[in-house]
Amino acid sequence: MKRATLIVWEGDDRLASLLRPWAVQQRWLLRQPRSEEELLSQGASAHLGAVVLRFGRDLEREFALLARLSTALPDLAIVVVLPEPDETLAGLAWDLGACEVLPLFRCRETLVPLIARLFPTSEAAHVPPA
Amino acid sequence: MRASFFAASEEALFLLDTRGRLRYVTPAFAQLFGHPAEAYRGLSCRSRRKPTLEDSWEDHLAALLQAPAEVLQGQPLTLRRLLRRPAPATVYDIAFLPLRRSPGMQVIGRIRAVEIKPDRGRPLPEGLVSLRQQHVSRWSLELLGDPAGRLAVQARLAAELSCPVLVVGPPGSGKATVARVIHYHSARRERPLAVLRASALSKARLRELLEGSPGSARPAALLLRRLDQAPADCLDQLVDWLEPYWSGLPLESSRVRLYASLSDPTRLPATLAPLRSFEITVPALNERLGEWQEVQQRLLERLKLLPGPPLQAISPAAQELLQSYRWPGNLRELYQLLLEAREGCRSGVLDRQDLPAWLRVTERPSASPSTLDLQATLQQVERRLIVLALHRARGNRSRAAEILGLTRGRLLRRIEQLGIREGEAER
Repeated sequence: MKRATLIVWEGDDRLASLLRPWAVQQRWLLRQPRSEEELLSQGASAHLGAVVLRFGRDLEREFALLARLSTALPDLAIVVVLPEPDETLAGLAWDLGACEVLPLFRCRETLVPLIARLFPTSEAAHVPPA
Repeated sequence: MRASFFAASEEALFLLDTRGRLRYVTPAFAQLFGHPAEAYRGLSCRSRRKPTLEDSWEDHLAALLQAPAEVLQGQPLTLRRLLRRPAPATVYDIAFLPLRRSPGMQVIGRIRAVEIKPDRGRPLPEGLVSLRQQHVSRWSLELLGDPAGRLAVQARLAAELSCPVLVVGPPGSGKATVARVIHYHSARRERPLAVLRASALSKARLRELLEGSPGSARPAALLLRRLDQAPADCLDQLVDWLEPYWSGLPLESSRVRLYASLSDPTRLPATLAPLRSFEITVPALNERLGEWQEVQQRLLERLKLLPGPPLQAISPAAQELLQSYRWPGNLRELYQLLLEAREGCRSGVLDRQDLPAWLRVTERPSASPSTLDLQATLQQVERRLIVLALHRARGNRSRAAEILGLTRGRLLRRIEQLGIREGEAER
């Protein structure tokens, strides 16, 4: 049976470790792809999903990935985490399809409630048409 | 001794006792928050509740100074937190140092205000500018079908105006696409459009987006998807924000342009009526059969961005079958079907047999938009849901009945009446 999937794309385990207890509690799959292709494949097979993309290593490549992901899978909820508050980059992330943009320092307090609000429990339990 | 240490320190320090209450603060701390040192003593910083904007500054300060669980387990930690009250919101770096003391843990904290300099107006590097241009150019008016058609004409007109826009249409019909096309053809096209799910909003976040806040980006336009799912306090906030539109007075050009989408316009509260200043209705996919080739081509192009077997084309037989279905889930459902059918298609050309069994065996009435056979459509939807539930339950009928909220007996009767065959749910 397919389960709602939370995909975290980052260089370390920082955001995944914040989200893991919530994902376990909600019975969501938590995936941490290691390559862009893997990320796209996991996004395509998630019947209901959210992706957290942490930026800061190679912005051009990361924003190109965001654009590709949001174009190919427009129903994924994509949250972009920037290293610092940056209005210009946040605006770009919105234009390229992010549904929310957060600076890293706000993740500890806001990321889990945000993901929870993105998919109310009833929706996560619902199987959308194939 | 501790009191004299705190009195002599030039840093903004505080001490939380074993019960999480403020025991000492330094003069620099008192100065930072603008009250005499005595005003903070005894403040309990162990609340489980996140303060709202209606709460007092003490509640907000208590949440700011609350030691995280890791610190209470003996681990020093430095955090960056936002204090929303008193306004304006300020960001602080707080270093927590646990002091083991039996029983419990005392914590010394050092707090510093952080000056956030938003990079307003900082130009993007050339590569990112080009990426944005490339991406934004996708939202052409061609996506809305016939350039002289109602949808494209309305979108062009909406792009000329700056009033709020309400986009209505059945689920999956492309309401967000319409809002994007309008925005990227409007005078604000060089500035960002934020597309948010209304259900994910909090009142504070909505206020930040509409009115701005230090260190937080503000878009030029905001699309709230599925507005009917917004929390009640966010709708109240929107009512307040839309109030000037009732008066008809000229508004600042810097004001965020609001778009909202929903499937059923009757669910829009009367207090949000200014959103209806410009209302656009997006037709269902089965009312756009004239654009079928273009729609299909766009979806195939989108699929090419994903890893996996490439899908180059759809055979005429498969197209005929696809066009004869009513697509209650509209473009979203069609795309999802192509995404799944692609996995089983080895030749790169999607043929009839690559499509799921339920689509092949269901006898459908004519898909002519002028035919509105409610009974046949409902049966078709019911049949599809039953096949999906059986698929999800791996053929277990009791489980499928549970998923559908039916008794097992009723499910078995419907399976028989609708002629759903064994094995039909395998794909």
